[in-house]
Amino acid sequence: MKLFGKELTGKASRDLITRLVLIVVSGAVLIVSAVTTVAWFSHNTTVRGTGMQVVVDADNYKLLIQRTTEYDREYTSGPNNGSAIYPGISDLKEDVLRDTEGYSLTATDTSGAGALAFELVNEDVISMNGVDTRFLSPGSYGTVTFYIQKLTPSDITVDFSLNIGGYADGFDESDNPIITRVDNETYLNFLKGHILFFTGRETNNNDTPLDASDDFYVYTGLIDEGTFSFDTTEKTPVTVNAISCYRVTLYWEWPLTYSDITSKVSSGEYPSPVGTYLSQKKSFVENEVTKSYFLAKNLSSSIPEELNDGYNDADQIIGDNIQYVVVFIE
Amino acid sequence: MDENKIEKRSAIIKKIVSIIAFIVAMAFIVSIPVAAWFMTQKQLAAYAPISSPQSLYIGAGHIEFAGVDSATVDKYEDIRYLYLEGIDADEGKDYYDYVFCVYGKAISGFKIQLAYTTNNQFTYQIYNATESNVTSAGAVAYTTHDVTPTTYYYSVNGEAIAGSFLNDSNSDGIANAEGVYHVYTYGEYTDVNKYAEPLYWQTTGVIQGTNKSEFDGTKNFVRYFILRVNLNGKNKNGFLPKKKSFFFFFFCFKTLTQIKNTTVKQTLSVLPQNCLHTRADALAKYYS
Repeated sequence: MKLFGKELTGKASRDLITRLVLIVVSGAVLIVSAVTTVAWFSHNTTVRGTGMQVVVDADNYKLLIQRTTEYDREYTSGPNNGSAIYPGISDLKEDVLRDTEGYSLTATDTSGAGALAFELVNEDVISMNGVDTRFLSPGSYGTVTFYIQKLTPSDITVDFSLNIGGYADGFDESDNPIITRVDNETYLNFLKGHILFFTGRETNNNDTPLDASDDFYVYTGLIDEGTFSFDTTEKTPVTVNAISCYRVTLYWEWPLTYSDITSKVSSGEYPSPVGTYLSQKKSFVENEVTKSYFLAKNLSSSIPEELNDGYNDADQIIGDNIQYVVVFIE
Repeated sequence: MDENKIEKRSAIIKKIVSIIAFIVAMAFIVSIPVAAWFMTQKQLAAYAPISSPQSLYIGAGHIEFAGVDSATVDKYEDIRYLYLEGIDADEGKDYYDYVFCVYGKAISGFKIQLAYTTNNQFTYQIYNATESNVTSAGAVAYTTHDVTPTTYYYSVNGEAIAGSFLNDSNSDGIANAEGVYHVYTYGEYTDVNKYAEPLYWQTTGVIQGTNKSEFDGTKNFVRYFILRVNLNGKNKNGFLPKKKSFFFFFFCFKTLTQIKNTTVKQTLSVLPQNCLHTRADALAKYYS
């Protein structure tokens, strides 16, 4: 064997071959690991080229958000002057979302690089202590908005997963107040059942265009399986902070009562899949474990009053056991 | 000589190959975590607080919750059993104590508000109280109103709970005739006897609701308090008016996480769920 024109001895030649084989093998192992790791991290984020072969390419887009500061507000007068209007939110943000879960809270926060936490928008107002507040409660409704910045010229379809989590006020072993994640499946199922998410919402002016007081929302695109997609094809991008991107808005509503859900399905304000989702998820079978996402009691009938009672009981359980809702989008 | 050069060149080549292999390996190791970091910029979390339902109530004496201690059923003593009676100047006492409680479920904390008219010389303090089955010096006795009446005893525990007046800017013990609280109470009406206009007092700090052990259990809690009605150092030869006087107590509670009793006006006029009032008659002895 010759190397650089020089004849190698048998031993040197065997050594060289051995080293080359080891290099190739180790490189191959690393390549396999890299592909496997890449695939694992990409599992929850799927990009499909529209009209093209399915690929997984995480460099095709970025997700952007705009932060609001509603839940950072303090009272500016009265006996509670200087106190937080939403006590506990700062602990939720810092102790839980930033420190424990690794979400970035600010543009300059690098501790949770890669995951972004921001405020869910509640359009419903509850007046408390002389100020308007945006606590979530039965009857609330609002939006979750983020942006897709396309990094390639061609259109893309991005698939997302959506999950709802809950957190509660609690205590640590030293009796210090802390915020803990809610793991109780019953409580979380009620939360998931009672807060409905949609991909579309239109305003119906009820044939009185000049009177906005009787307008109502009509929802489309129920997110019932925890997944939704956004296709940039034929969508018009917007420019936000000098960045061209596509606005993705999810709409949510927490129906006040069970009869509200059924009446809105009948009227078309909720799409028919809500009715299907309701019928599939409201059964309450105690011994067979199949519980309910809507009702907190085992009903033997479908009397509307009982259904409303069961829904209201579930609302009470949500409020007693979950003080913060977090919607995870991946 | 040539063999030495060959050996040296071979050694150099080996070193170069080893270095290249090391660099390639390190490049893979570095690229894997960096690639993963960029790809995880696809997680979003949208958060919001939930308005907890108001499970906060006022009661008279002893409260029991099923599943706590040896209780098997819930027992409540309604606020109507809080009788502010028996104040008699002839007794020569400086004050009278009455027990009440605040109870609820899954409430992190609350404040107490007290409102009263100033048409007499009484002043008031609220103390934390400890419940016992046996009496002790100065304890307030309370007998339940259930099928098997039981007497419990409540003792003052610590100093008076700190608080401040919301509408006594002159610090003269009389409610402001003007200002936001006057508007809340009377609107635009101004012809109000200054001693009839309620003085509003609120605890300064937050009183803990559900503590850790209660949170780990049923989340129900009860806190006992003693309302001390001070005669203000006056006796029958002092000040008591020569006719019946009336004063009103309003116990209103605010939770830290949800406050629906937004204003005192609403408290007085609407009497929402978490604000109950009780009327107390202070019977003064007639003097001939």
